[in-house]
Amino acid sequence: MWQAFIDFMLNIMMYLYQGLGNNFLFALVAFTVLTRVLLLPLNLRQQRSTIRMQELQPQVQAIQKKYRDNQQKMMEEFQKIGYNPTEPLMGCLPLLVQMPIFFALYRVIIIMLESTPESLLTLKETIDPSFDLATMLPIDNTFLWMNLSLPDPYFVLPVLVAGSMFVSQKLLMPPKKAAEDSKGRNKKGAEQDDPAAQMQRSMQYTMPLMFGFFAMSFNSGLGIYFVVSNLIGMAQGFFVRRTMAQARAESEVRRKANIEAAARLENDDNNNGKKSESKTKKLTDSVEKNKKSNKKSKKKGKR
Amino acid sequence: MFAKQQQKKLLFVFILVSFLFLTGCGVQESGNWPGLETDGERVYVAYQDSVVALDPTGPENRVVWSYSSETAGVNFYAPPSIKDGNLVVGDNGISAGIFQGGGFIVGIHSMPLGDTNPPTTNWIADDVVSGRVYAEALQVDGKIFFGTADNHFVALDATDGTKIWDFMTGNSVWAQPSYANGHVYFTSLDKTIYSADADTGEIIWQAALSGASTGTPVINEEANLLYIGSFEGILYAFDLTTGEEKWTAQTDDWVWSTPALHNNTVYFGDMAGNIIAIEAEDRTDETPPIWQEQVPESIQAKLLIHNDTLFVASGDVSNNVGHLTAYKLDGSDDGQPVQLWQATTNGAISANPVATSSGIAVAFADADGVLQVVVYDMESGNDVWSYTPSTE
Repeated sequence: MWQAFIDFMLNIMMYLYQGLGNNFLFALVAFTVLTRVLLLPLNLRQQRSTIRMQELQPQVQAIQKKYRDNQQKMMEEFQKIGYNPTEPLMGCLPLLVQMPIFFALYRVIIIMLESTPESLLTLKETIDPSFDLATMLPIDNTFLWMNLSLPDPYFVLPVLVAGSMFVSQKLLMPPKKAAEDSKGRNKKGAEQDDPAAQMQRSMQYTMPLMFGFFAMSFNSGLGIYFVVSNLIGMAQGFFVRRTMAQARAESEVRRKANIEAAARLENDDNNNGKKSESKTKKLTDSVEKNKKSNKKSKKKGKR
Repeated sequence: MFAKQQQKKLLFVFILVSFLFLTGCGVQESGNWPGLETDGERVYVAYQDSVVALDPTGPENRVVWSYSSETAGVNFYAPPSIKDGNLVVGDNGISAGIFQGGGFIVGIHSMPLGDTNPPTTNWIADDVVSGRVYAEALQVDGKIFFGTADNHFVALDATDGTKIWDFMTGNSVWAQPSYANGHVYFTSLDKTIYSADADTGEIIWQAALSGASTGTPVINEEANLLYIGSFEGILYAFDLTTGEEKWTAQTDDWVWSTPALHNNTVYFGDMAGNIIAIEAEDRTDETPPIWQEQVPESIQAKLLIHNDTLFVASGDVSNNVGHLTAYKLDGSDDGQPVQLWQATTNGAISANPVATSSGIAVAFADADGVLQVVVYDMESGNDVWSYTPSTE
């Protein structure tokens, strides 16, 4: 099963390599884009969910404080506002889903680039027979100063992996305003009360450091996959934040418009009520006047 | 709190899974098949962490000596080079480490063929190359020539292992070089064959091939020709002096193995299992083969001719099966080769077979990756002797 997955990925990489002018770097970038496109629905859903969950933090903290001693009630309240306590950590799901891809890609890069006699035999026996491997060989394993089958000797790639991952994770964090709690406390104060936010923030630093550290030992090809993947993640992050901000702004405009409309309606109702009241008063007054004058004329007639 | 505990568990699992995956990615794995050589009597086999000298004529499974590097993690896959009582072998290297600029620290080991166990090394050169060595070195005129996986072709002084010259090709060098008249001939996966001055490393000529090459150039000094196969399924004949292409012979699949020259006939095999015999000199591109036969699997190992018998090793790596097929070259009435016997092995034979006084020796790894060395009787094909490390 696992081997079949590696073979499948190997063939995809070979098709990309052949289709992109026998350029391994282009094939690698195209593969990364392809992977991200396939994972796009999951990523977008997750990013939106993460941002939404973080925006709910003020309410979450208020509920946590209020129902500190009543777990069941707290959960009920969470449910009411659409908050799932485990959901913030689900932000790691896209990364976890990609893990088998990373690992298989590592093997694919070894088979395609490290080129031991044995790996070349494996390549020949594994790929689709329609490939003219003899003309495709040797597969160029160099990019700038790097041998893509070996770690970057100057550690530029690990720094880029860590940096791009940090920025991409940072884009998942809420804007400062959203992190303020209902009482207007600052982000730090709000976080101290919320373990999920604390963990998310600590992961924002630990994950890039961890991946950056490992990028020092795994092949540069995989490092490039991470960097490209993170760049796409950043673009996605921007997109999600922008669309959510836009949606929020639109909803705010709609909400304000609704409030104003409601207020207008109320005013109109009020005004209409006052007019009819004065009319009724006038009418009552005139009826009373008429009654009085009739009485007077009746009296005059008797005389 | 429930939610807090659940989050902590999830975070822990995530970090653990990431760690396992990423540490797995950091492992530099690259095995290969065993390397085999002989001095005519003993068999020397390099596989994984040791080079072992075996004596098939001695007591059962006699290991004369076993050599391992003092550095942990060093493996050997290149066939040892034997010359004048001296063995030279390049290793697979160890990762240079993240703070040593990456790459590999690769050693070239020189030792006498004596009986001490382990042998005392003459020298170990671990600062001359940084690319893995898969091919057998060539010892000639006090020099050691070999190629590396990081595209270098290097000449060392045989007395102390110091570098004499170094030439960089366009890709990995996987084949043993050849030598004639002060010139060294070598191929590379960069689709080129080179002729260099053995003393200075100056390139005398180089010729383009249509495909990568992993074979050792075969030299026909009488005809002043050099034969080499390529992955485009072509065997080339070049003028030894000028590098001019003389003729080619086409086959169905990659020519990975080193051809064999015998009685003015060149024998070569391809990855489809075809064995083809052609005239060594007077022919054109259109001249049909003299003889053609097929063995069960693909041929990577050098074709071996010994006592007018052609031995062809073949293998299927995926199915862990191999064969050694023997042909008597002038077996038929009309002088055509005739199959003598065929032995089946439980592993693909990709290492070059060698002829010893006891028979034809082959080395391969079985399905579990365990080394097997088997010696077959040249006439009958019966296995007369075998060795696996577990039988010690």
